[in-house]
Amino acid sequence: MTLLAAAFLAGLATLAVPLWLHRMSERAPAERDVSSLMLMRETEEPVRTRRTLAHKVLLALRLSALAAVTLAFAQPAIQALPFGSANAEAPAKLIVLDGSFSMRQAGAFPRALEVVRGLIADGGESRVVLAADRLTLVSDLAALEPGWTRFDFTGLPPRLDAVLARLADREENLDWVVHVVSDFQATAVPDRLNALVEGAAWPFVLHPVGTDADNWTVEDVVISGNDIEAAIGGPAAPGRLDVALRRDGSETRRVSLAVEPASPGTVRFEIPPAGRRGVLWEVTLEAPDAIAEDNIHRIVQPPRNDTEVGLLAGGPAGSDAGTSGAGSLTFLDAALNAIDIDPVELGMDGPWPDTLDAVIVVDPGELATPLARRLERYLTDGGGGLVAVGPRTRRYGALPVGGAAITGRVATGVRRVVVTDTSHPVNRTSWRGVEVQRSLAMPAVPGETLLTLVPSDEHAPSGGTASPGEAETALLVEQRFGKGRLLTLLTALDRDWSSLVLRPAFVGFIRDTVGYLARSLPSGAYAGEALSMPVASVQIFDADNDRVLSLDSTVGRPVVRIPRPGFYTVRTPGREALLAVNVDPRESDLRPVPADVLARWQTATVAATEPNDGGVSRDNAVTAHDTSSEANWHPLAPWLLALAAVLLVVESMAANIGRFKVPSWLPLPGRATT
Amino acid sequence: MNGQASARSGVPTRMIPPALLARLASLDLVARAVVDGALHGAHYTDRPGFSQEFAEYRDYMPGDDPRFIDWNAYARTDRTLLKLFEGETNTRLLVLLDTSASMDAFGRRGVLGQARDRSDEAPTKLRYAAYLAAALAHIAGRQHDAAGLLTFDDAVRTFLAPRLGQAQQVFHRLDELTPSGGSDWTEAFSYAASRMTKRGIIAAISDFYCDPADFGRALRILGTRGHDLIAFHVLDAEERQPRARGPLGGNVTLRDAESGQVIEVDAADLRTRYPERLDAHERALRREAGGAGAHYVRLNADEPLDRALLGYLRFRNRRP
Repeated sequence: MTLLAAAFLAGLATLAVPLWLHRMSERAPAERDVSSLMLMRETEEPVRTRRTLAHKVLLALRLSALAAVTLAFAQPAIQALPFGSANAEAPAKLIVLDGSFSMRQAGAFPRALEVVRGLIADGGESRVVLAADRLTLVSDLAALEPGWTRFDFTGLPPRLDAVLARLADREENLDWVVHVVSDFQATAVPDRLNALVEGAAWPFVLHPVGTDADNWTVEDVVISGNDIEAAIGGPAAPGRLDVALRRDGSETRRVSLAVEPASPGTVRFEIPPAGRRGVLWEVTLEAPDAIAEDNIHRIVQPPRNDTEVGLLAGGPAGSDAGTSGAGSLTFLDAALNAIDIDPVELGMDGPWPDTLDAVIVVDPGELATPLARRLERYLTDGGGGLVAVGPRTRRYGALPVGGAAITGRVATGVRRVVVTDTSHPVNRTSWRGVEVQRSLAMPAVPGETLLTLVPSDEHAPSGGTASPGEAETALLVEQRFGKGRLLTLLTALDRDWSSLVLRPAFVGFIRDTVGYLARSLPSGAYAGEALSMPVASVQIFDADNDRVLSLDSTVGRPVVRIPRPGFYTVRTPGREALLAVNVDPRESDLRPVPADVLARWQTATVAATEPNDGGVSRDNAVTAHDTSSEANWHPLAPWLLALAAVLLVVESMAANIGRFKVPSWLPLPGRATT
Repeated sequence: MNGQASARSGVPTRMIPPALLARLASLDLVARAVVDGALHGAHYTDRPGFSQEFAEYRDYMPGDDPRFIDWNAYARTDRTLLKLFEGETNTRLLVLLDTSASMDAFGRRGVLGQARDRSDEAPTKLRYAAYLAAALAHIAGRQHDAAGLLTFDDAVRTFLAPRLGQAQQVFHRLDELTPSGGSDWTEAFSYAASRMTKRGIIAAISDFYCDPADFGRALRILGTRGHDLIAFHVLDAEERQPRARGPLGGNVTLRDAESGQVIEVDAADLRTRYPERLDAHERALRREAGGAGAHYVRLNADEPLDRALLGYLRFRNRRP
């Protein structure tokens, strides 16, 4: 049935005819002069009321008859439901549709839409939320398509609760069942199961639509000195790829790379040294895989770096220091040189440069009091610092500034890095493959934990789930220090403590950390990522010099999000920088979370909401939605026409009551017969 | 045409419908046409004066007493002239005319106030009453009766004491009637009683929308003083049998022409019950008139005046 049919609409217009006629007849008649009212009798109120009532009944009958005829023309039909159908009392459905980049894999999003349509067709109240970097309520499925941003299931229940709170339906105390339609990437599911079920007020039904398809991607690209180093990630199977380097849109190099399973391949290209202006580089793959859009990674080679970084090393290492000391400085110097920074060694003697942008303190141990006070004053005045602990700090038992205690016990065992705050600018580097063997701990964490360590599970992919109760220790902590900020890395910059210094991630980590501490404009970001800006007023232009984020929209909001990958220009008052935006490489890892994890997830939400009785049986858990139910439609037109006929007969009788005399020969009850 | 034409005046002479009378601009003409027609048709003659004081000559008209023809003048002028004398008044006629707003509510104003623009429609009740008053004044003059006029609504508006030969003044006053207000019969009759010190004839013309008992009491004020009373009850045809229909046969909103009061009336009741109440009202008026020794004549504003005049003449001839 379509209620927008021309015939139906024209029929609706005919309803105005009886309305108009009755309105005309209801109008107060014109007053008429008579000689005298002496012999007139005012109409009695009951008579007037009876006439008014009869008038309205007639109007209702005529309108109903016309409406029935008109509606019949629209060929309406109803879906027959058996008596006692569960749908009649079905709880409302909140359908969370994954709209992240990974849903661009072949067939995933159409399958997801099919599942969503099936859920809606099942009847009952339903709302659809498109989940990407943000949760958005949508009403039209036809226009939906997956975006370029990332969707992470961490903290999903409270975010959904916030969405439901905005719905008026929430006030009606509807029971909701949350249907999650997603490819359930392993990288999108948090390590801690608690982060999935904490605060879940409604039962979850999970609808996996993804496949473990082979997909290659450029996981990370780092410019180190005169080299561009690209990390290529992909499926477990070995393969051979063509990797090309493009400068400002033109290909300059091409190599063929043999990639081993479970180990990211690395490609190194030699590039010219940085000049006075930035250069746009693209590393592209040519591989037949599930998603083609992530086979390109953009990076900006910034102009010659004039960031001034001070380096402060501690005293001589103890017996347990291993290669800490000189070795740490070597790795750090290399990383700083890779990002074109020549650090300044700081000491007690001589003044510190006024133009110092950041300070890196390597395993300080016990600093001399004047030096510690100088460092503390530098931070308080708005400077930024990174402290990497080590054997000397362990022995001293505290940080040289702030005095936060450091435990003397060294945590050992192979652990991997988990990003706690994905929106933090320091955490844009992929920590995949980084393993930490030794670390220190802080009994009382003084600030925000940005990175944590969890025991490594060789069967679980990086970023996989972790069971509740697994031991977690902080790896990177940020604390405010007056106007400044201090980052504390709780492992040494030493290959005996972690593999960080051996991985390309180290250069990226140092680059991002120095940029963050020096309040530099960002040169790289992921699509949809919350990008912290060091100043409040920012304008961002795309490659065509079209403004994508206006000044107004960012005034007073130091965090911006760019939804699509590409090269952009960031302009702030007095500064301008190039920005490369890429798809988050975690979205390219299409390996789904194991089915047992999904089962535990759903079981946990149902158990947590058991009194809610959402009507979801555990047998239905983690099953694809069955959309094959055949709709049973019944046309209503014949019934409507019959109703119209009855209404017209009744109307005719009602309109002529009292107008005709009943024939005397008609044997009516109570009438005397001769 | 409903009547015959007079060869002399060129106007209809009998059974002239009021619609046609309304076309005549002069009340004098109306009165003459009506009276001549009525007298001729009914074979009535004027009563002569009995004084011997010469007054004037006039042309002889059929019906005049040939004894009063001046044969000397005929010999001199070869014209048949009637010799008139300044006779004494036979009696006095005072016409009491109700000019309240109710007298203007029907007739040319339309059926129940709806506008009409047809020249063949009846005049208003007030206009019809004015014709009747003019005809009475005219016929009184021809009978050598002194004629006077009293118009009233809430109060007395005009009073011309009965005198001989003041028919023209009566016509002029009738031409200037303005309907307004209600009707105060008691005051009007009391006023007339105070000014009519000698016995005479009092003709009251009205639609008589009043309490019949009050009407009877007012009549008795004059009746007890020896006056002969005749009441002309004028109603419009639409007033007798309203054709009122509300939308879809519903209700009708009516406004009193005198008080301005508005009520909603069931159209069916107006068609069926109202005429019954009007008949009862007329019966009550007739009864009260009879009780006061008055003669009651019911008139329709769309019927010729002949019946009213003949009724008056019969009433008049009962007097000396």
